[in-house]
Order: sequence, then structure tokens, then C-alpha cells
Amino acid sequence: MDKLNREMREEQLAFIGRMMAGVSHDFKNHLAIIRELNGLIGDMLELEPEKSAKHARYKKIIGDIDERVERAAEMCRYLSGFSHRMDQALSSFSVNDVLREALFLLQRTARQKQVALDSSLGEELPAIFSDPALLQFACYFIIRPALESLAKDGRVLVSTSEEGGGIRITITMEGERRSRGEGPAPAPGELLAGLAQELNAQVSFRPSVVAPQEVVLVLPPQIAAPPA
Amino acid sequence: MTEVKVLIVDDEKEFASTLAERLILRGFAASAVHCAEDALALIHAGDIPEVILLDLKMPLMDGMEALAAIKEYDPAIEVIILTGHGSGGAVGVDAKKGAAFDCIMKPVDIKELTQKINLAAAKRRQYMEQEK
Repeated sequence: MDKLNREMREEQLAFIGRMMAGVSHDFKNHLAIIRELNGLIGDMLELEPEKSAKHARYKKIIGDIDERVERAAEMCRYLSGFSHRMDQALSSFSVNDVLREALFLLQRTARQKQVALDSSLGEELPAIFSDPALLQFACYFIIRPALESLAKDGRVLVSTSEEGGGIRITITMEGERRSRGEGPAPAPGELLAGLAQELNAQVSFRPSVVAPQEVVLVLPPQIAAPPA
Repeated sequence: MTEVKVLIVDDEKEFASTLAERLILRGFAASAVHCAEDALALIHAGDIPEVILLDLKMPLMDGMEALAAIKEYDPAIEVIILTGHGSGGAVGVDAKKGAAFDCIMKPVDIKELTQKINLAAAKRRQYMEQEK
């Protein structure tokens, strides 16, 4: 990719990221107000000298609203993190944090497809210096087709470990495939190879690029973050 | 123990006033202003809160600037940052560097918030006792 194209793509991603971050920030403010108003109703109910017959029902509704607010806030937190990944192309980051965001945002697709999306992330992995938004895109590009190609009760497992000072990301697909024509084909190897090249990473498919059961992405140590 | 004096500084008026009302119901002496400039005016006039709940993103003076100004005037005022900005980690680190007592993500959990206000007030009271 030439320099101008790269700069244009980076600016476009940063623009999208800023817009998304702004919206998620505003959502969090609205949720904060809803939670406080809902909480105030709960406080006032508790202070009533005589509890009405519907007191327990009201408390249950207030609790349900609060639970939904918390779930929406959690989504906003992940969305915020995801959006800020696009602020600058290259940065020092935790691969596990980047994957947690991507996996959280892919859980909806997994639920719709009735396929489990699990993770087993290694502990105390080194931070790396690379393009986190591009890494998320590469993982999305592997995981989403995997979710769509697996039949009900299948499983996609994303795991990380250290490999030679770099990070190994393994995406394993378990279970029956949907019958032909029910879902899109797995990720095209050529485009994924291009993304891996941009990330200075190695990608491999087992047993084959056409119908992989395991995709491995290795981010090498030479892109590990220099000391601050 | 006398009630803890809390000042909420947040440009979201409905959030600030509702939170103040909920804290009052829990025995705090809480009030709200809607910009950092008003908070600093109160402090300079001698109306010193023990704990300030400070929003990060506000028009004109933002939370981090306000934190520095508050700490410069009276380092013993404890400040808890309330923010809906980002995913929390980086904001918390910046807030701690700016000598905030803690950083809580919006929407806040009232139990967590009241616990932290009490801890912050206890720290301030201990400091004031030692200074006597």
C-alpha cells in the first residue's frame, strides 16, 4: 500500500473511531442519568412509611432497569475501548485487551448462530507495538466467518500464548459445519495473508486454507514495544 | 462522626442534582455545581468540601485542569474523578498522577461510590488531625 493510501486509511479509521467514541461517551452519560433517577425512585420507595402492596414488584422493576443499565454500560465501555484503538495507527498495547474487546463485540453474532465463542488468554504476556485496530480486523476476519460456518452448538476458541518473545493467537473451530450454501465461506486466505503482512505477522491454516479448523497468527518479537 | 461534605461538579445537571439528592438521603452533606469555575469560586470563598466528585469532560475548564487547580489551592481536599470517558484504565492512571483519590466510571454504583467517599473523607480527616 502506498504512503498516501495508508495515510488516508489511517485518517478515515481515526475519524470513525472518534465518532464512535463520542457517541459511546454520550450514551454513558445518558445511562448515568437513568441509573441515578431509577436509584432515586428506589430510595424514595424505601423511605415510604407504609409499603404499598406493590412494593416488591416496584423494587423488582427498579432492579431490572438497573441490571439493563449495567449491561448497556458494559457494552459502551467495550465500544469506547474499541473506538480509541483507532486513535493512532501504531501503539503499545496488550493483545489480550484487544482480543477481549473484539470477542465481546462478536458475542452477538455468536448468540445468533448458537455457536460458543470462548477464550483462553495467556497470563503476563508482553505488550507489543503494532496496529491494534488492524489486529482486531484480522481477528474479526477469521472469527466471524468461523461463527457463520459452524453449525448450532459449535465452538470457536481463541487462545493466546507467548512464542519466542512474540504473541501466538490460535483460533480453533470445533463442531459440525453448516451444510453448503447455509453460510459464507471461511476467510479468504489471500486477504488474511495481506493483513498479516501489514502486521508483520505469520499466519497459518490447519488443515487447509479452504476449510481451516485452526488459524494461527504469530506476532513476532521484532515488533515488541521498545522500552519507554 | 459529622456528615461528610461532598461537592459534585458535573455539567450534566440532572445527573449532578439527582446524585446529590441520593447522597443526602444517605446522610452526606452533598451539593452540586455544573462547572469547574463555580467549584473553584466556592473553594476560594472558603466553602471547602471534604470530597469533590469531579466530572472529567466539561466545557471550558476540564476535570484534569480543575483537579490541578483544586490541589494547588488545598492539597487536603480529596477528589474522586467520575467519568464516562474511554474504558477507564488510562483515565484512572492520569487521574492518579494528578493526585485524585480515585476514579469511578459512569454510570456509578452508589454503594461503591459511598464507600469511596467515606474512605476519602477519612483520609482527609486523618490528615487534618495530624496538622492540628
